[in-house]
Amino acid sequence: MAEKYDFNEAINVFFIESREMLEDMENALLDLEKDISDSESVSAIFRAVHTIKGSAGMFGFNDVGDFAHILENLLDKIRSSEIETTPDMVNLLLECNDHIIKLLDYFDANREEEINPELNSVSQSLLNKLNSYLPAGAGERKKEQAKNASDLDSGDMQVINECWHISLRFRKSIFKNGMDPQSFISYLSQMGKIVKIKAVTDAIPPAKEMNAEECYLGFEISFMAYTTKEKIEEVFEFIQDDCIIRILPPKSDLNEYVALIDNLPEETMYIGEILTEVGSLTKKELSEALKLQEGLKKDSKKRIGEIVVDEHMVHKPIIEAAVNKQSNIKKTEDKIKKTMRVDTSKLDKLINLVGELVISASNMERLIHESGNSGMANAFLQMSRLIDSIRESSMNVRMVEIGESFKRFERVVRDISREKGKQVDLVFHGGETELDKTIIEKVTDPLMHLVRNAADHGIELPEIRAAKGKPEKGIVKLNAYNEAGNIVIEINDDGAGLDRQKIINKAVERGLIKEEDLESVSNETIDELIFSSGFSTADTVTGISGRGVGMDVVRKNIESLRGSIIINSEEGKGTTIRIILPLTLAIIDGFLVKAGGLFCVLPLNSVVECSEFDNDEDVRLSETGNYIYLRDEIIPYVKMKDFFESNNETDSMGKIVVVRYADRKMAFLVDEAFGEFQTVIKPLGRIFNKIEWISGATIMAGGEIGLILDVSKLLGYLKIVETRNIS
Amino acid sequence: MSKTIMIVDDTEAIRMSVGFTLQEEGYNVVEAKNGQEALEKLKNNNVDLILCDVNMPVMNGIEFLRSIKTDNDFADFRFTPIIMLTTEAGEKMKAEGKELGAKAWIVKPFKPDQLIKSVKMLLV
Repeated sequence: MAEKYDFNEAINVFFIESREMLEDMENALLDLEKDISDSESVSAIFRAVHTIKGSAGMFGFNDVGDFAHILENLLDKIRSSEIETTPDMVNLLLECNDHIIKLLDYFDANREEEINPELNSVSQSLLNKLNSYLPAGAGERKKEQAKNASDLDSGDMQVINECWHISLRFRKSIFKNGMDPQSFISYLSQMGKIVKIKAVTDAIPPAKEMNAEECYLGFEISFMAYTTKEKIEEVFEFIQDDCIIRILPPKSDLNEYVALIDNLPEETMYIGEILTEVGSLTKKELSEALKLQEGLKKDSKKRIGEIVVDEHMVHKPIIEAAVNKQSNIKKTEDKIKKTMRVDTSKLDKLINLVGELVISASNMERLIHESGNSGMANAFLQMSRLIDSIRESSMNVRMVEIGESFKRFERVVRDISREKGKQVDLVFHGGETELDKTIIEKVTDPLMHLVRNAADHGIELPEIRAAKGKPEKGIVKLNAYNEAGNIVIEINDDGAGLDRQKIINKAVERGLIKEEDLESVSNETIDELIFSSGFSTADTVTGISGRGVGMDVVRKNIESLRGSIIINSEEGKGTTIRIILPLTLAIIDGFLVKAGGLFCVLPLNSVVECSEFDNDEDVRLSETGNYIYLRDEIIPYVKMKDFFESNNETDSMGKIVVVRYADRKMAFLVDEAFGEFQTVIKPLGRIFNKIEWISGATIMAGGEIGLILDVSKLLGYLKIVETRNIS
Repeated sequence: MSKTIMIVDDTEAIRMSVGFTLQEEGYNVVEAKNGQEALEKLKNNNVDLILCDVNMPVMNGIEFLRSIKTDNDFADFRFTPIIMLTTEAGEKMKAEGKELGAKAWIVKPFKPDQLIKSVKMLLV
């Protein structure tokens, strides 16, 4: 076992695990809301709370643990059908779910601190609500116990001793059953202090009758501990059948001692002596007890003490719930995936190393080609295949199903529909689509915003929908799929669609568009306006959307991931927003070209074709020089070196590389095309931030820098060139 | 030779904190996240004591105990002390655990010294 445990790491894991657990719980609650009798959801919720309760206590987050404890009580009652689930209750449980998240956030940020009063008062008010569902007994147990204790305090015949008194008589068979009585006594000492212990040797037979395999001992123990009778009983639970145990709480009623003396197998005087020796009874108390015992005997059959003791010995009934729990767990076994948690920094390191490996492999490849050693080239071919698989598998490790983050949106949609009186269904497709974890993390917030917008602004109120002849319940669809090496996420609603007039008004008001241009502006351009900074069309800023994050921020976030966002809206029918994202951020399959003396990388998936440019029938330049005819297709054409404003002249005719993005194509003239190139993306310095169409850099095998070009931006650039040419 | 303790619990945070506590005391620690994995690991590890949660997916604590008791592959571990870790004081479960050879249990949440004391008591 080389691994060294780190307590702080364990705490971190606790927070991670608990948050995951709460996410599951939220999902289960939402399921429960849909089907109030779904017992599987209840079990899932119970399990989450149960685990959080257990582990929160382990790490000393008692405020979390105690809160979860009461919640667990209620859930247990729901599970065993003692309490009926109501929609209000589910609502309360959701609030509790949120509150535990807040508690965790708080303690995560302030590890050693006390709970703050504000959170505490929320805890209290939620606990009060929870308790109102619980039958009077369950929640009030502590109080009751306290009351019992004070009852005892006021009794006349009370023993002054502050200690517990425990009487133990082991059965002869205990050794044979594999139990060592002594270990249970030392176990007891964990809970408190054994003030005095006295062995009761009365039962030891004469030496020749003694069987070495039998136990003849008993103990009288005076025990100091702040605990409960149940806790002490628990210590001896394993040998419960192998011994007689009597436990008397501190300051017990003298009657109980009388009953104890009566019940133990030894002579009254003998045991009485021992009780005074261990200090449980004073001499005076003992004689009182003996008198009492006499009196009771005379009095008749009714021995109050014994009845009391018997009542105290009654064990709690078997909890049926325990059985139910076992069977419920089996049901969900299938769902649990075999996974392992790995620190992301370890993964990042791995990916980085793989990146370096890819670079040095391409260096090696170049050298081998130069050397012309065919044997080595063959061997290298094999190796490069392996490197490819390593790259792919290590990338795969970072891939996470997007469905997990989709589930979070359910709550958002639910809350919006409640608040605004709308009816919205959220539907997922392609939740199994995999995407780099970092991308998922970064795309979740923008997605959340879009989903929120779709439900809040897109979907109309039920009356309005009915009037328009639509079903009252609106649908927000989330769809994820792979397309040409990219991941596409679509957010679609069947709501009102964008109100273009409103957008135009706003845009004019904000000076984003000139009034005289209005005639010529296409619908698409209008729709795109909502991505302009500081643009918000909601007449009144609602509590849900309009949280200061506009669509412009959404677009920026997506673009920072090398992604793009497209909006498509039809008035009265709804809006679809497509987000196109790369699969991963670290390495891309590129297409290497050289133009104007510079290496450039185009994302391979955007390259449609590459051909010699010799102005023959197939590929020929238009008269204006702005287009080429490629097998009768007209494609905009740009010399790549113009982008770099390079005057580097080359003699060769060059090659044509045709790229595509969305529905648009574009042809570049480059000096040389090298073909497929695995590109490890390195970020560019801030100086290059302004140049939109350069998305990153890479280090070439020979140590030169290669620029990674952003095709969507290049196309945008082309648009500007076009318009400039027209004007 | 320091003794080896196996911790079987599906909650990673608990495995880690228990592992930490035991390691501080100089024990070797073997982790398993359910009964199934624990059985697998018993094949390759010499374990002196087992700490075992009750509610776990795939194979719960009770089933795990039963396998040790009844499956001859694990005859070597029939006398290995087992401490159950549980949050509820379910009588039935305790009785069942005891029946299957558990030597003690600890109720979660527990304090590190509580754990160490129980472990020491059973490892004497």
